[in-house]
Amino acid sequence: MLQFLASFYFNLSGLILCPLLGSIILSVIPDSRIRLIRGIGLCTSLITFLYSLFFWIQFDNSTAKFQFVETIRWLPYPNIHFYIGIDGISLFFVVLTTFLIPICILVGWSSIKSYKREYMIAFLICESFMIAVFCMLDLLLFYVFFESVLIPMLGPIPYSPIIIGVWGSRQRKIQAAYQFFLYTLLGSVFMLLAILFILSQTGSTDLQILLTTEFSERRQILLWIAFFASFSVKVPMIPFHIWLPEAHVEAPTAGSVILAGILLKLGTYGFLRFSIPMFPEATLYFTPFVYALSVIAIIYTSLTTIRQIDLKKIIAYSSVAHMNFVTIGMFSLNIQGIEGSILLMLSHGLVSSALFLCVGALYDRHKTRLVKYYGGLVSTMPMFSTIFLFFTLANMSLPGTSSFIGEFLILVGAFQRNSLVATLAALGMILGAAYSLWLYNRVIFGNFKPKFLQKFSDLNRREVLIFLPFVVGIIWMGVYPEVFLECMHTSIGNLVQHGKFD
Amino acid sequence: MIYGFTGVTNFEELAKIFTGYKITLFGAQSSGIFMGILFIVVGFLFKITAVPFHMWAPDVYEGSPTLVTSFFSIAPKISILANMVRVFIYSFYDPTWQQLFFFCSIASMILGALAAMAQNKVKRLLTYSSIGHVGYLFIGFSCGTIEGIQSLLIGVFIYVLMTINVFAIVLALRQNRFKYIADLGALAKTNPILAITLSITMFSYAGIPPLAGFCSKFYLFFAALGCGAYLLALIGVVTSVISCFYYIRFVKIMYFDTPKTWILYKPMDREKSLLLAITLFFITFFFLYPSPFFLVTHQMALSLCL
Repeated sequence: MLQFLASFYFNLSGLILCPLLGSIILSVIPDSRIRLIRGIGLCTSLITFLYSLFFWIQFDNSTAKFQFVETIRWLPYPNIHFYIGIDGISLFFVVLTTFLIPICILVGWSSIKSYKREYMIAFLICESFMIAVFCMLDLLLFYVFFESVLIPMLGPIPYSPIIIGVWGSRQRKIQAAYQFFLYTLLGSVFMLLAILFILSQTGSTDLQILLTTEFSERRQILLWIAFFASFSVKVPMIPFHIWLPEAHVEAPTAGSVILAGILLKLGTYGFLRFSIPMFPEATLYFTPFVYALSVIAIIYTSLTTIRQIDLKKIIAYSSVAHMNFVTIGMFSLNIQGIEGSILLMLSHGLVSSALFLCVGALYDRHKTRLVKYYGGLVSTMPMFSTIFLFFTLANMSLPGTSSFIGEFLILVGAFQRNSLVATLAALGMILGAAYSLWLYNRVIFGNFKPKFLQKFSDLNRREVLIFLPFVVGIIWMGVYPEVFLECMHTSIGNLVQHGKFD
Repeated sequence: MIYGFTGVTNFEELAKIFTGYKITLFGAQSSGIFMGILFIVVGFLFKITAVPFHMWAPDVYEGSPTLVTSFFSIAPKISILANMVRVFIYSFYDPTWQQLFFFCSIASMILGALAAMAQNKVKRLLTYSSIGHVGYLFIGFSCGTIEGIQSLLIGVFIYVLMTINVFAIVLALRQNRFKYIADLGALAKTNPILAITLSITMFSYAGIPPLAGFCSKFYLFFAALGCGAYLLALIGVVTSVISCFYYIRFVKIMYFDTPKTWILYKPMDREKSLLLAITLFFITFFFLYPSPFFLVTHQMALSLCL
């Protein structure tokens, strides 16, 4: 039966179009038929998820070439086309994206009171843009989709407000929106200039052609800086990280999940796919710089986290720390480091999203995110405490969870390059344990605070079922990561060899 | 004056006379020709509201009835840009003018971006945003390459569509004396489709992918980089981001602020809504299939210059 399915013609463009079709269907349904809207939204996202799983099954591990490649003509004269394909590096990001979107839709099941239809449409459009980002092998169109994710996240604000608007929570939401938008845009326009420069000098933006062109070292350095401007804002690296805690705090739960789960990966994916292979000499030139920034970021954000009082900000800052771990791993430029960074990215996608879901569950019940109002939740919400414990331990990189594998591989890779950086990064791990455990302690154990909270309810069935896939994913990646790593080996080996980094 | 010094006003004849004829400030045998051309340039720049000849624009745009404003923010630009392309690329092709156009373009972009931030009347803000846009179009124009002309043509077309869209919206709200930007407040709750149309148009003005405004801007910057005008592209890009600030402010006001008096909007007539729908459709979906349009403008640019 699998043979029969394998003979089907699996199309990447179909994967990108599937959520768009769902959103078009949704746009003609009136706002009053809520159950139908929710049903269609959920079904579309689940179908997309299953569709992406087919790509994983069909994926051929033995070659580093791009698979399921398709070309759709866009602009013939400057040679820019929709050139789509997957290789070992991007495969899992696509799967992660399609995995997280149904979760987000489920999260908004009962907590979104108004503009339900626009919420769904925005998520589905956002999903298709994000899948397009990870599949796109043409530089300019990658940039286009990289930036177009901004609009559904911010865009028609009340309609899709994944970040702000009717579903956001405070007056500072506008400030957060501005910051998010302008930071990202300013960084990216420099990348646009660099891409256009490459286009005018080499005549093409096709990645496979650009991988074989040699830029002179000075030019590589300039182009690398321009690309860095854009990617480092998304990662986020110090000192461009300020938008992240603000954006997370103001966003509704599902928005935070998407933001932490996928948008942060766009920056590091860009580094991995474009900066490192196309500009190898510049990468080597800038590696100490990136190391310095990342180590400062890890230690600084971990220390800052300890002092935070807002639950979401704590997790947001810990996201920053994890993503900077990822950049240390990537710029160690050996197979262990890069594999570790991808695995940590995937695991961070699961763990941070799950943590934001936990916080979202608390927020839904008590409408506050300040830690001081919570305490002693273990007696009233035991299921929640167990699940929250699991994800806190995963955030801390406990062995047995996926983030441990990721961080371990990164440290192995980084140690080979520069032992001081690896030591300092490991310090970051210790600090991570500090704030995670302290947060858990304050919220779950200890005494009740009956002055603040009087009513309690444990997780309902929908919420437990949302958390279950995350638990399964984290344990699977932590106990037997080879399933994931085997798809990446060839592609990453090719990358390292291509830049002559070994 | 040109006629006086050369004896012809035919474009082709002028082109033949001026090939190989270096017109510099000090060297020309006939500085009269230089002055003549300079006067022509300045005249054109006045009409197109480029900096530094843009002084009349904000007041006039604001004071005229909106119908008139929408006409003369669109039509003269098209006609004069076409005319300039004819005159300066075909007849008077010379690097001296290029520097002047560079300067005008940079100044227009910077002024358009910065001045619009302080405005709180709608039409003045649209004026400054159109001045800024003329600056971008001038980028395409001032590098004298085929790609430059092509990008200019694409930019003009998309600018026309966006401006039609914006002015149609302003006209639609005109019955209620729509003067200040703050009057737009809470448009999202009273008229959500109009609000979303205006937001998409504003995002397109700002040059955010994947809307049509981004396509025009990227091609303009591509032309600039292709002919080596790096400073132009850099300033263009930075002013793009600066102007994005006040475009988003539109969106913010519509969705977040409450006006002092809630204005009830009457529904607009059928032709306007059709016009808005067509231009909005084009702005949103231009990105998916731009290639026939690019091919046509490429041919147009080639025929104009060769």
